[in-house]
Amino acid sequence: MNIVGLAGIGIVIALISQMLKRYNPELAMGISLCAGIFIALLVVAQIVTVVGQVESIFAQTGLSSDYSVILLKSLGICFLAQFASDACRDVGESSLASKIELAGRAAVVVLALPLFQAVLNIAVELIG
Amino acid sequence: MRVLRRSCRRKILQPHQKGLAFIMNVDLIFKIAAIGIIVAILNQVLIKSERQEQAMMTTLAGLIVVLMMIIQEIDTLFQTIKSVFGL
Repeated sequence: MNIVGLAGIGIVIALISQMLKRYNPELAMGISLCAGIFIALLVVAQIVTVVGQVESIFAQTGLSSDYSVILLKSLGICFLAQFASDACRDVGESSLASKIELAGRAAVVVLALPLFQAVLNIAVELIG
Repeated sequence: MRVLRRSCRRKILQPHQKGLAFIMNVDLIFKIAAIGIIVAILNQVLIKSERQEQAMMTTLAGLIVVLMMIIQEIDTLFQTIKSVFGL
């Protein structure tokens, strides 16, 4: 689906969600969440080719493939954390949203620890 | 000076090889909207005819139905993201 369809669906669902908010706030969140999932799935489907291209570029540079894996995984973690925290913030649960973002940051830091180690090793070798 | 360089052992997967769990239909969104509107109308009708308990039960039933639909879609999204980003 192209961007025109996605924009149209977004606006229509926002309207319907606003209309349902008065009678049934939980259902309003449900329908906006559903539309968000739909758009996110279409975006991810288009991103797959980009991810493959980035992987091939990484392979050509000759660096270890672990580094590109770490990069892509952290991208996925960021996307998931952002999606969940936005969904929570929409219904007014901003404290829950902050906790989810904190968890995402911690997960990315834990994931990138080998990179820090590698940089430290190179620096130590350069110095001594 | 030892250069950290390793040959790339991991195969580069094409998109169709990654086994993506795929796209949902637009119809689902409008089904949920229709359920929401019907539940709201039933709610008002039942409240006005002095049956508050049944109104609450229909609201809860509509919520549970919608929740089950949404959880399936959330599962689809998370499986797709896990397979694309290799999480």
